[in-house]
Order: sequence, then structure tokens, then C-alpha cells
Amino acid sequence: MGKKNFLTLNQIDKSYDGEVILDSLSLTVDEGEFVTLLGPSGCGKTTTLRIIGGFETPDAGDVFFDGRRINDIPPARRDINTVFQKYALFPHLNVFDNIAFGLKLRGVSRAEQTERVKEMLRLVDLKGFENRSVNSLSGGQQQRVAIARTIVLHPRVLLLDEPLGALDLKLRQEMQIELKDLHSRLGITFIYVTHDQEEALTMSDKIVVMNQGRILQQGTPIDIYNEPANAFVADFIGESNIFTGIMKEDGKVDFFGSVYDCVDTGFTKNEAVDVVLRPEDLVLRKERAHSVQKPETLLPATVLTCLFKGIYYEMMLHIEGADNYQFMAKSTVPVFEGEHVFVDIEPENIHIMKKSGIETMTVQKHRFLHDPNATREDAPDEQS
Amino acid sequence: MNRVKLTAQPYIFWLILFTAIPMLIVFYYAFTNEMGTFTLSNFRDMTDYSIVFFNSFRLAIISTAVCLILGYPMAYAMARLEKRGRTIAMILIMLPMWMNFLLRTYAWLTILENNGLLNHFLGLLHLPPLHIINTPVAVGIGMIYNYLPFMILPIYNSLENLDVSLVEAAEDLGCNSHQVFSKVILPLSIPGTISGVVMVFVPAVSTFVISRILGGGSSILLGDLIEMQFLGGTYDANMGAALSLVMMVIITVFTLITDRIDSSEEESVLMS
Repeated sequence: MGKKNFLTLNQIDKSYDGEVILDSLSLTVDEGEFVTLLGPSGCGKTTTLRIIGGFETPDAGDVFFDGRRINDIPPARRDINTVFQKYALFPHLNVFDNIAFGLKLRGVSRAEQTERVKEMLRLVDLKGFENRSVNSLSGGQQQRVAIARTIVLHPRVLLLDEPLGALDLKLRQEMQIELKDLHSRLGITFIYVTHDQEEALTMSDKIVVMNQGRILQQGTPIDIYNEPANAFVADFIGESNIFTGIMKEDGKVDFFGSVYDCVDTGFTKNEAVDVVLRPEDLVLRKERAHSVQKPETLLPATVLTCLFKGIYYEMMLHIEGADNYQFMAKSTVPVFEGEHVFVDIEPENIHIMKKSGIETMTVQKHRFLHDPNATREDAPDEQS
Repeated sequence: MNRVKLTAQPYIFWLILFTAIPMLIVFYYAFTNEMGTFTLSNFRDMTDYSIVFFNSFRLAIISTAVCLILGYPMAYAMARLEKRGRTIAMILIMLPMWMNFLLRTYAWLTILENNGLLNHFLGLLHLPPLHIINTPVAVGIGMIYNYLPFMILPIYNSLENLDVSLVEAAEDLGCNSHQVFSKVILPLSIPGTISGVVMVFVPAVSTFVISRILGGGSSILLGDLIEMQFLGGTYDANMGAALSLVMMVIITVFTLITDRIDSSEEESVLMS
């Protein structure tokens, strides 16, 4: 079984030209884990990866790898390899020599090179491509060569910087499965950077959600999705209805004038909180009866739009008496536009979070739509 | 399709008028005597000038080699500068080219002549004067000075366009800084280097202005020889045309060979 705390980042600071990129970031990775750093562009995820790879030096803080401090060890002498965003294959070398590049530097014999490269090509499903020019390969094939070129060296950690970003949707989904499969077959620790939440949810053992150089939450995909730590995480992982509510008492939250049962506790009485509702968790009832919540608390709403999205319908709901707010709901059953419904929600699907200082434009925009107390002035100034 | 043809017409006309027809005239003159009858004697008589061919090529090869030795490190250093530094370096390289070619070459005359700036400076240091002007060395200096930018710019271009992530990938896979250079940077800058070599060698082998101003007729080069056939006392347009033709063939062959090196170089890197 893998070692605990195989790779540790300890209070890493990094800034460029006075702009803080990483703010006292600490992270531990166990051996053999598939860890994904997830966040919007500019959140510091790529910088974190580059610090682990040795391409950037932290301004402060330490990087430990298998019990050893590696801050000052150059990339060439770390047992860590990187698959670069745009593959970075050597255009003057063919497929064989790209893959054998690291082996040659290590003085591996010609016969062993051939054998190991052949084995890699078989692994990434590119048998017989030895003498092809890398420029003649498709994006997906280049991707495979880039992966083969690193894992042929048997690294102990593989860093992947948005490796699927340049591929089209179908190929990306195929490669997600292949990468996941490769990870379980090789047993190498994977640290994966992406801004695609679906990719992160599909592939990871552990997701680390980052924003503005800090880690907001880390945990299994299921934990992150079901129990987002704050409004930002909730908004970033999947679509959410986010708005302000008042915690009446433990297990009772008030929003839009209705008091719903929920499962969260530990808030002070009448504390303002962020309420997060997943669109797929909204249950639309035609009648107040047979609801999970107390029938009299259900919010009455009108369906504004109902869009067919393939496996589900996406609806925008107007909450009666609250002109600025729209709920998004997803359902496999269509409801006609203009129809009146009641919003019912299972208590465990109401996610209550403490108001956090970390907010983004997107969350604030949502809040403008949903917050009963918001005024025009609160909306972020788009020009600034 | 027709539109493409239509837009291409002015260029085709241009090519016929200023490239194809003059070439045909050169061909005609090279293979005829002054009476206009067919002969190969122009080419046979050319052996008298073999020393000129030899000198021209020797000087052009040396100048090109010196330009390469000076130019590559300069281009490499430039490509590693910050954006601001690159712009300044680029302006410094281009600046002399905004001046007239003749003027620049005459400036070297005042530097290199026996009572010129260089010897004046040496005199101040109580060093013996150097006799450079009117020697092949002066011509070589003139060539290197004038053609160095043509070496630097294409090499700089290929180095500047080199993707930084290739360098990082090489480091990642185990290269130290020397290996990054020899295994990635150098092979990828070869196309730029080859065009630099061609762009320096071709004008160097055919120049006549530099050798006349700085060489003072001490060493006649191919360009001088051709010019003399048309403008000098020994007017012989047929010989001039034949010499031009031979030079053209040699330059074409040279360019083809360098092209070949360019592609086989990549392959040999594969094998190494």
C-alpha cells in the first residue's frame, strides 16, 4: 500500500511582480493517489504543479517528496515527470526517439530502449508508430506519446497539466477513461490540473478546489459535490442556486419567506448564511400535498422556460413575490411554460454554508439574482 | 480558380519581364561570341580566372564561418533577453542597415586605412600600425560587418519561436543545461542557421563593392570580374554572361546542398 504524505507542500508562497499567486498553500498527497487540482484560470493550480515539477521555486515554504526536501533539486533529478499542456513533443524527433529521449539520457542500452519503447507503445495503443513524425499525429495520438515519454521512465509521480484541454469532447471523454485505467494499472501517483469540474469528478480519488492561490476544499469527488464547503465550491462544482438565507435555529432555514427543514446545525440564531440548492434536487409539485417539507412552507413558483437538454429538461422558475430571483431546476419530467408549481426539497439536499470572505464575480452575480437584500449597487462593476 | 489566375497575372507578367527574359538574354550571351554565333569558348577561357574563383570562394566561406561563429551566440543571447532587451538589441542590429551600404563601407575605409582611425588609436597606445586596407582581410571585415545581421536574424527567429515548454520537457526528462542545448535547442535552430548561412554566403561570394572599396583592386573577386566585363576597359559581355551563369549554377547547387543538409541533419539527430 502507498505511503501516506508521500508528497507534501508546506506553506508555499509564490508571487510574480507583487501579485500573489500562491498564498501559504499546504497540500499532502499519498502515494498512488489520483489528485486533481481544480479551479478557474489564474487560481494557482498550474503554478502549484510547476513547483512540484521543479520549474518554479517557491518564495517561501518547503516541498517534501518521500521524506526529502526537494526545493533546490532541478527537474531532471526528481523522480517526477510532467505531461505538458501542449504535449511539448520534440518536433525534430520521431515517435520512437521522443519516447526513448529520457532513456538515452540515462544510458539505457539500445536493446532495452527498443524493448521499453515498444512496451509503452503497446500500452498507449500506438503499436507500429515508432518511425512516424510527431507532427503527423493527431492531437490524441500526440497526447499518448507525451504520456508514454514520461511513464517509460517509471516516475513515482506524474504531473499532468490540463492534458486533455486541446482535445474535442468525445476524445476527451475517451482519454479520461484511458488515463484513469492507466493510473490504476501503473500505480503511479497522478497529480492532475484542470478547470473542468466534470473531468475532476470523473477521474479523481481526491479533488483539491483552489481559488486565488488558496485551497478552498479537498476531499473525494462525492464529498466535494455533496458537501461543498462554501458557495464558491458549490458554484464551481456543478450548477447551483446560491442565495442568502437566515438560519432560524438548528435544522430550520428561512429563505424567500418560507421556513424549510434542513439537516445543518451549529449556526447562531438568525445568522445570515449561504444556501446552495442543486438544480436537480428541486422537486416540482403540482399540489402542496404529498410533499417532503411541510406543505404550507413550499415556495410557489411559475415556470418561465423549459429547455430540452437531452436526458433532462432545464427549467427557470420565477418565485412568486420575489421579482429578481430565478431558480434553475432540472427534471426528467417536462413542465409547461407558465405552469404553476411548488418547490419541494429534501432536507438533506439543502446545503447551508457559513458566509465566506472568498467570493467571486460569478457568485456575486448569482447573489444579485437571488439575494432579497441585494440592490443594483451591489452588482459588480463590469468595467472595473 | 479563375480568380486566382486573374490575381496572379501581374506577378506572372512581372516574372516574365524581369526574371525570365533577362535570364534568356544571359543564356544567349553566354553561349555566343561577339558575332552572335554559338560557341563554348567563353566557358573554356574562364579557366584563366580560376584564381579569382578560388579567392572569391575562400573569402566568402571564411566570412560566412566568422559570421556564424559570431552570429549564433549573439542570436542566442538576444533570444534569452527580456522583451524590452530584445527590442533594443533588434534596433541596434537594424540601425546600421538604415544607412546606405556604400556609406557604411566607406566608413570602414576611414577606419582601416594606413592613416585611419585604427592605426591612430594603435599609435596612441604606442603599438605598431597594422596594414589592413587593400588586403583580403579588409574585404573580409567589410563582408562580416555588412552581412552579420543576415546571419543573426534568421537564427534569432528560430530560437525565439522555440517553445519554452520543449526546454522544460527536456529538463523534465533528465537533460542538464548542456544537453538541453545540444539535444533540443541546437537541432531546432538548424533551419534558421542554414538560411543564415545562405543569406550571408550568396551575397559574399558575389559582392564587388566591398572588394573594390576596401580591397583596392588587390584581390579581384568574382563580382569585380563580372563587373569589369561590362563596365571596365575589357568589355566582353559574352564572357560576363558566361561568368554570371556559372556563378548562378554554383549558388543554386550550394543552396540545394544546404537544403539537403537541413533535412538530413534532422534525421541524423534522430539516429544519435
